Amino acid sequence: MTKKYDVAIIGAGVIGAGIARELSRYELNVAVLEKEPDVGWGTTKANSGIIHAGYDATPGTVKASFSAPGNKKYGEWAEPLSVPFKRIGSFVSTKDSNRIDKLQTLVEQGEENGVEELEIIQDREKIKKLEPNISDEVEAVLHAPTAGVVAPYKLTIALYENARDNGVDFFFDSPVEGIDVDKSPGTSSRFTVKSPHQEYPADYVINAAGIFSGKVASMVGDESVHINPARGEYHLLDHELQGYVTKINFPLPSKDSKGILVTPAAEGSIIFGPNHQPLEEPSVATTKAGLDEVFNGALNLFPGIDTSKIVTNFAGLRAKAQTNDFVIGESDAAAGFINVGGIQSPGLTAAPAIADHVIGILEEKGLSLTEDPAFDPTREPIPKFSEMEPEEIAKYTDDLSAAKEIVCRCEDVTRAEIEEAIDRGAETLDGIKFRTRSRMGSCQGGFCTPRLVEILSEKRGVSPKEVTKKGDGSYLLAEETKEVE
Amino acid sequence: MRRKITRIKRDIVVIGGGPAGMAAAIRGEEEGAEVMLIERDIELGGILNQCIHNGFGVEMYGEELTGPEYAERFTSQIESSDIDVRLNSYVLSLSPGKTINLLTPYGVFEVDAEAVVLATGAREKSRGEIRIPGDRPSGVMPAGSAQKFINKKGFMPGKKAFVLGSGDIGLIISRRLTWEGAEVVGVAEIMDYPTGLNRNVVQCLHDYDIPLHLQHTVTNIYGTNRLEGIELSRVDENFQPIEGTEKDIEVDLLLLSVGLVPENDFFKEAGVSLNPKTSGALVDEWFQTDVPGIFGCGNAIHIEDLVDWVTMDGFRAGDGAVAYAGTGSLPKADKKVVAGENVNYVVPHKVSGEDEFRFALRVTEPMENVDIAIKGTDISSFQQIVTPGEMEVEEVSEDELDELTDLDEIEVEVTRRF
Ligand SMILES: Cc1cc2nc3c(=O)[nH]c(=O)nc-3n(C[C@H](O)[C@H](O)[C@H](O)COP(=O)(O)OP(=O)(O)OC[C@H]3O[C@@H](n4cnc5c(N)ncnc54)[C@H](O)[C@@H]3O)c2cc1C
Ligand SMILES: Cc1cc2nc3c(=O)[nH]c(=O)nc-3n(C[C@H](O)[C@H](O)[C@H](O)COP(=O)(O)OP(=O)(O)OC[C@H]3O[C@@H](n4cnc5c(N)ncnc54)[C@H](O)[C@@H]3O)c2cc1C
Repeated sequence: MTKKYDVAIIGAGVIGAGIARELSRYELNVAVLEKEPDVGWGTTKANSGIIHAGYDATPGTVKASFSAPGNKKYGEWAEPLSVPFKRIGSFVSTKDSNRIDKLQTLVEQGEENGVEELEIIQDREKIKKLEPNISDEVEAVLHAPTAGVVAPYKLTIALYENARDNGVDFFFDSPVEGIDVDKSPGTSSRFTVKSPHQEYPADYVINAAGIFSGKVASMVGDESVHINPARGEYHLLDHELQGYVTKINFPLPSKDSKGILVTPAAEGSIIFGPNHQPLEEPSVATTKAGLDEVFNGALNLFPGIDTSKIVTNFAGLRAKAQTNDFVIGESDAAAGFINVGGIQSPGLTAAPAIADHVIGILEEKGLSLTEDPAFDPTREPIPKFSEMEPEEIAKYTDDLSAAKEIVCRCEDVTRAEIEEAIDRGAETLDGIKFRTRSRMGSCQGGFCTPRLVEILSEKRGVSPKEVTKKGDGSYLLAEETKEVE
Repeated sequence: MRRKITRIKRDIVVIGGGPAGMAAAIRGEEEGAEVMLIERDIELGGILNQCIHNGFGVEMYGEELTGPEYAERFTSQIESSDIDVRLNSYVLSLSPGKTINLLTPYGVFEVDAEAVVLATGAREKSRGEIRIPGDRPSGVMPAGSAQKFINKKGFMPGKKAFVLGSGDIGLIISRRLTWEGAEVVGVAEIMDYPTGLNRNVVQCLHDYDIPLHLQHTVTNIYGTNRLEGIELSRVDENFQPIEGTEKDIEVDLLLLSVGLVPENDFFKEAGVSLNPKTSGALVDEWFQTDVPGIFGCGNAIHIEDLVDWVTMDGFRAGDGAVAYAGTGSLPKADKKVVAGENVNYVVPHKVSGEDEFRFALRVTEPMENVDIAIKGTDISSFQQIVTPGEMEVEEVSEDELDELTDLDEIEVEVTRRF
């Protein structure tokens, strides 16, 4: 018999996974449908990973109302879920003393949005003390100590694991292709959500489909959500430069974006980016012009940074709604269908506050929420060999023989970590990468890929030819060689 | 319960069991030192194990051996020696005081060494380092990974390939792919000359009619899941793509052979100074770095094209390590060796001037009829053809040392004769 769900969530980005995790506090049947083989592979895996303080959004917008509250709640997610999150503080810098008033505007905006501890620093020495390698030409900065960095994919994986442990059903490789509303009189559910393999009856549907949220809304006849993608490109530098940049560094913002920032990522590398390119069709391909723009933008703030340490580049897509704001609320076209679309920046920041708000909407629309006494808010991380002291290593490797094989030598990832990532749900090389950092370091998998393919194929009991980078046709190996040596 | 970390002492610890490390370990043991040789792989041999083509040992043995055959000459000697070989073993840390934390299948050890030789080889540059934009499909990998898949694992990573970079690895993999029935559509090189050994250009490309596109590079990558194609563009003299020269080529495999970078993590950890040109450590004629008792040899110092030189350097580093482990010091190397006219870099970086030595250099551009010389001396040798792709090695003999006595700095230059 088909399981009937109280709530079906479409999309397992940070928004969908976050709502699922918060719903798992209650005695409910919740399903999450995701078209990719894993969580967080939409916009969530490719962004700046900043938990913004909340001063940038124009007061009165939906974005503004969720930013500072989201930021305040971050510890409540990061701690029990053991996710790398650090409040390192942000700088908005200007080299032009005539533009210090722009910083003042941000302070006022921030205060209206409920951001605390904002200060403008004009004392060069103090600026350099807080950020030693920033350009000498910087005249003034806005310092927001509450801003932080998180590993967005790790956060989403943690939300997923915790939601799953608390009873939420996740369905991957399950693109939603249609939704029937209240058609069959015999069924008690209002919706039937349809993927190619299965149908999911549900009372409430949450549309958290990111750049595709307009498309999903139109499946219930809601044509009000229009999403335009805007690409942002990045360079990522090796963790060797750890410490060279200590704060999240923005230039003065423009109309469209917060500008090209330079920041340490939560896991130690440094990133430059993003630029802002509106697109007709979604594409996360990087471009030479875009990468050059990002490169030059970063040098503007950090002229001395060693760009030979760039290890990779990538791009993400902002989901820009027509209104240039988040679209959150029950659809006018179908009662019980909640849009959570157009979640552009600062959606990652806002995610915990959005999740709470959406649950509030569900309750208001009649979903009864009974706390589940078995709910466990905690989730253990995969033990990280690279962060252990020799004594810990002695114990860890003694207990676990797979920990004695280091598979990724750039990031020091053991076979035990790789195998645990697979046990926890990674089915692809990218899935392993986001859980363990293997293939994220300076050689980008040049060294460990052959071994990873072997481990993945052994653990999953498939031929190495069936191992993929990221599902669906992204195989690594075409065929056997003529003779095997 | 707290697990014990076993403490041990060795005269010499060699990290890395490729040809460089094996040579250093063998020499150390022959001279009576207690030697530990650490290798993270399941076997000794380093890159040689995956190079099943001929062409190793011409200088050392006057023979053309395969990589594994060349390695075997050393592994068999090591097996019958007292060298303490640790396979599947990882160095967790190396302190400037030469204490090594080591993870082995038998537990964690703390090893105190009199002298340490770093012979950790090199890694291949990745797509990100050369900043090729585009999609991020599978089917783009360093040539060495492909070589490992094919030669060690028995799988072909694609059927229709393009190779970026005309270094030896790129050339040899092109031939290997062809032998395995794949189609190699072309090889592109950003320079206006091939960077690999000339014999490899002939034997790997010309013999199989594989086109070599000089002054070209890959400027875009297409394919959402699996590689579907690349964009090839001509570059100008500043290596910038020339607009209007773009050409799309349909392939399912792009192999990158765009250079090796010395594995220098442990040098950095131990506080050793590096040469920005090579990314390897600065060394003297015994391959000692500027941290006393820490030596380095092979690709970890600079990328060498012939394994024979790697082996000879390993022996020399072994000699140095033995001397240091015995007496705690070596003659002071205070004469700087610098790259002069037309020289990109030269190794070693310092010499004592008291002992004969060899220096290796790479020129900045291809030239004909040149003299490789030490400025201000009669030490000089004629070469008909030099190119950046082929390392030049010269010896300074015992008799010639006199000429260096008055020099504070030894400037190596390459000048055209006519
Ligand atoms: C360049 C850039 C930088 C950013 N920087 C920041 C920042 O620093 N701080 C910050 O707070 N925010 C930032 N953001 C915004 C933040 O990344 C997003 O707000 C957030 O990731 C949105 O999450 P989401 O879950 O809505 O979307 P997504 O992560 O895109 O998730 C949507 C999911 O739905 C799935 N899906 C789509 N259609 C279907 C279907 N039909 N069936 C099943 N599944 C479907 C997708 O596969 C995807 O996994 C940035 C965004 C970009 C692009
Ligand atoms: C494709 C290819 C073709 C070639 N063709 C020829 C040819 O035809 N003729 C020729 O003469 N030369 C050739 N060469 C060059 C020659 O093989 C290399 O110069 C030589 O192998 C370098 O020796 P090495 O010992 O410095 O490095 P490697 O052979 O790379 O050995 C380094 C060793 O150190 C180990 N190691 C690294 N880090 C650690 C660590 N932290 N702990 C423990 N162990 C570690 C590695 O596992 C490896 O075994 C070729 C090279 C390549 C790649």
